[in-house]
Amino acid sequence: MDPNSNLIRYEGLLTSEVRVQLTDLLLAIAVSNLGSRSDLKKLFGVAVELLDNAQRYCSSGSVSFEWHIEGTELVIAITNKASKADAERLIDRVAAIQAMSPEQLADAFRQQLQDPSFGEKGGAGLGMLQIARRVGQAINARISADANGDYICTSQVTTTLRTR
Amino acid sequence: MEPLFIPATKGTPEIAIDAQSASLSVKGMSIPENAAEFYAPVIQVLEQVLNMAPAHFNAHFDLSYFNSSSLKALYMVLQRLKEARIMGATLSIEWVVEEEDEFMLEASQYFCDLLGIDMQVKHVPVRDHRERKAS
Repeated sequence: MDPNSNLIRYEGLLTSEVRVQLTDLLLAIAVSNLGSRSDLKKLFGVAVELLDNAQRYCSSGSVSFEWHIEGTELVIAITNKASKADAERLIDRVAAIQAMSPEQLADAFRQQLQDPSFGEKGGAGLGMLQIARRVGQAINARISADANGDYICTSQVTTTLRTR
Repeated sequence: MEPLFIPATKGTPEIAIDAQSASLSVKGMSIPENAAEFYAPVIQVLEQVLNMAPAHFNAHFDLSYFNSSSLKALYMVLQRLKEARIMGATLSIEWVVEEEDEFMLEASQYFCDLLGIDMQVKHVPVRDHRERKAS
């Protein structure tokens, strides 16, 4: 992984240490390569939310994470194994967000923020809503079952970078 | 009452609460894996300090970035400060924003609108957060 590159690809266990190293590297890449400072925080934030979700809901094994800038487009994707329940929740959550108007999204975000509870894995229930607030509905999720009964979840965000 | 001091790490901010000066300071990057766990003692100590009914309370937020679970925890911190104001304390909340940092500026406006509080936004030049972070 090279901070001067427009590409990060990581495959392996998403331990606490790896999560810190990846966020450090993402910040370095964002500072070096992204057009505006607003994009920096916005897109770094999208990547952090995806990493947080993968770490919380990964049921076993490795994750695959990619940050790839091509021309004016940035693709951030993460794939991890999850339980059937968590995988189905991801699909339902993304579908619900994609169906929301901007006003509904703002309401859902506010309600979730004002709910003082956190999930048992420490999530605030805001991650996907926050991504949608930043990049519109440019988020996609897909799941598939593997031979061992695990579910493979892929969350991907594709967004156009603003010019400097 | 003993002050609370939590040193910064690469993913968590430095936090200081001092009952004597009735102040709270939060500085750095806030992307803990479990924000509920990280901020629980902060909110607990803050409540203890605010229960001492200070006439004035100073809060200073100088964050480079925070994740969505930290957003909820920060909302809960600011909610406690608002409650203290309702009980009669005067509040001074300073929120540091770097040049061009729309994320942090929007966050301060969002909190103010949602909670009905005032913040003094302090604009500062861009800094390199990779150098500021503790190891």
